[in-house]
Amino acid sequence: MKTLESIISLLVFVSIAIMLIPEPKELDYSVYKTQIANDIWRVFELRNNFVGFDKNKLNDDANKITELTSLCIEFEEEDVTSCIPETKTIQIRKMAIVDGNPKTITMRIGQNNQN
Amino acid sequence: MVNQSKGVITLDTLFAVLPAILIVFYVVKSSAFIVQQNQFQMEQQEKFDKLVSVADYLVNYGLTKKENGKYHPNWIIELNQEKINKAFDASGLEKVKVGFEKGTGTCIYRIITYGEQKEIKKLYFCTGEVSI
Repeated sequence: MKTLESIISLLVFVSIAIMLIPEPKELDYSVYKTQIANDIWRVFELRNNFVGFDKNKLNDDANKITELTSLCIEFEEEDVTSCIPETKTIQIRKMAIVDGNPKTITMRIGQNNQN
Repeated sequence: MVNQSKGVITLDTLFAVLPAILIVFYVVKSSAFIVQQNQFQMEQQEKFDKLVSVADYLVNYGLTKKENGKYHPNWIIELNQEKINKAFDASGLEKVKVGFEKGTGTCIYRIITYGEQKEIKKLYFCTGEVSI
């Protein structure tokens, strides 16, 4: 009887222990993703795309970056999109001059698995 | 007179002790596994973070164009190997390759503008070690 009890205890313990073993976590890419988003914004700045908020230039450069990285770039409310992201990765909000007025722009970066 | 039931009790105790030993063994084994797993993961995260921070330094200061004492982050005129080696030596990372072509091992990239024409490029930083 004691043997049976012990075996049942062992089975219960093993089951609980298996459930408690943590799944191996993935690496934390959050800082890196923010850096990439800031890189993209900085590249637009360096290429003077925010001077007058030239949407054609922004679209061209966004397409070029998408071509290089497979990342979709989207400026919310500004009609600039390089592709439709399947998964949203990160978004940053920064100030730019649009039509002579300062405006907070939201840039979204996402992954498009088809690219 | 020989007590026959005494032997049976001992055998039963023995069978009861066996699962207990197995429990202890399993606890020790699984604890060791979890500790090893966490340690490996921490080491990988540490290496990755080092690579990310050195790449960030190079893209923001180390390799960037400097005009009148002012740095222009993400604007690189040339890939100065001496500056790259200096930065990676200080970080403790070995066999690091920086270039526009993807190398072996763990690689990250940064988006930069290159040259006076500010051409958009993808700059790879690879450790050359086994992929994370």
